[in-house]
Amino acid sequence: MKKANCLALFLVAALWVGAATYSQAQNPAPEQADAVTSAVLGQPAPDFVLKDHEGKPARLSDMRGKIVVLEWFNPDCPFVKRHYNLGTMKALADRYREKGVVWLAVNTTHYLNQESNKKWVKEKRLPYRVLDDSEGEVGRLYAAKTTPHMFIIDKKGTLVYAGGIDSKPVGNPDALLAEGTVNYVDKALSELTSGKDVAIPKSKPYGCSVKYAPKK
Amino acid sequence: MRAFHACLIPAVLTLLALTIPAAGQPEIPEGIVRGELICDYRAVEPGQPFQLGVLFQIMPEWHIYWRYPGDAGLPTEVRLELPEGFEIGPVRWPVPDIFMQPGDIEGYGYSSGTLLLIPVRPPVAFDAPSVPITVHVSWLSCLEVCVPGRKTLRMELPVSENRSPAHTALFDEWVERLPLPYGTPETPFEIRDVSVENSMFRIHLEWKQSPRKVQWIPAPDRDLLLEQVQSITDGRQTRLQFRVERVDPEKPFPDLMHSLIVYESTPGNISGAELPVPLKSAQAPFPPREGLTQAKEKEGDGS
Repeated sequence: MKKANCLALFLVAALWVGAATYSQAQNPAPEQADAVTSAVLGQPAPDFVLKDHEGKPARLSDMRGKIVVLEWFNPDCPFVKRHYNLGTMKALADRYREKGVVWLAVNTTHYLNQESNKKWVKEKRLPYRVLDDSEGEVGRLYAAKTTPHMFIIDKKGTLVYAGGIDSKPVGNPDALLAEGTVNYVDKALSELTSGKDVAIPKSKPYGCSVKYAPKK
Repeated sequence: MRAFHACLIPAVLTLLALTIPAAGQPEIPEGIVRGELICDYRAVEPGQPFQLGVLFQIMPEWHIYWRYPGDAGLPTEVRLELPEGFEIGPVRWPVPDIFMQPGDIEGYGYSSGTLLLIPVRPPVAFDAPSVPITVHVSWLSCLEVCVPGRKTLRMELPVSENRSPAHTALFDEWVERLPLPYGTPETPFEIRDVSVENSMFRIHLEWKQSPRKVQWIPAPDRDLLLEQVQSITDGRQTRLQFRVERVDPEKPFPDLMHSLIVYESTPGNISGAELPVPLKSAQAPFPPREGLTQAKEKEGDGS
């Protein structure tokens, strides 16, 4: 009898796991609002829906009329750690928020999830949302290669900047900002918020490779 | 009943292990990259060139990067300190591995190990009993996570008119893996044509024999952007095209862009040949091989 109880419990456990996996497999992919299937500079930015660190959905097309910054992000990457130690992203998000700029961090790291994003937001007291893209769909849509990899979308929904956060790649998390560093995102946001065109619309992103899930 | 509880615990643990997605940083082992400074002679002889080598040993599955890392990563950097009057040549990089990571992220670098070679020519005469050599190296090692590393390597070599070689087999092994310089009789291809139109470069190579598995590895400077790269090999012809733009349109193009043609020379054996691309004038003759430079070379950007 005891053996039977034990077996039954394991069976229940196995069924539960099975059901969870099935429901995950049945969940539809985020709905695409239009036919844009890849991010091209000067073209409409592809729409997406991702859950933020609180579990609330964030849809890009809902932010039309605002300038949106997408920051590809991985808290385990030394390049990201350096910019968070320096306060680069937070300072930019704070500076441009009142000018109608929405900052969104996207975490495509396949082994991280909403919980780890929530922990990071709390730890770093981030004033913006961190989106969970651990399935890698939005990362592939934007061809995000590195963390950080930065994208700026203007008020009309056009992709106007794609590239690095700045001009000097440094991987040591304790390193200060090198002399003569040009922050391309700051420059582009400053131009956009004063009604100008983005003078440097693309640069080579630098950082760790985005940790997409290995192909099954 | 007690037995039921006893099996309840493992059942719950099984459930937890299977239903909660794994989230957390993968473990970072100790000693991923080891660096050692070696020289191909046991002593320095005035006026006689020698080679220094930075020998990297890399933990299996991890990699460090070439002079240009590809889509992500960071170049390995080498900076030398030698007494005044010593000429230091550019770092000679063995042909890197090409690795394609999930998300179509292409990288160039070394797994398991490499030997970066640095040619040095001492002055014809100098008055010192020994020569202190310092090499600062920094790298980024990656597997599931990336870990930056740096080390200062030092050695002091005696000065002697009668020097004997050292580490000969090791240097020979890695010299074999250097790319062939452009324009030597061993170069397995010739450039038939180079043209440029609206920043789009087209290069036509003709091989002496039909090559296998031809790939092009560019090494653009930091302020260049490469796009629309295409390399097609058909028989003895390779046609390469790519668009080069400057990040800052105000800045001029550099004279040259370094690149390598990588190919399978014999089955399973990867070789490389240098292909310098003249950016300023696509019609200009290709430059000769790089020589020793007087200035102390600093590779890449500082970190």
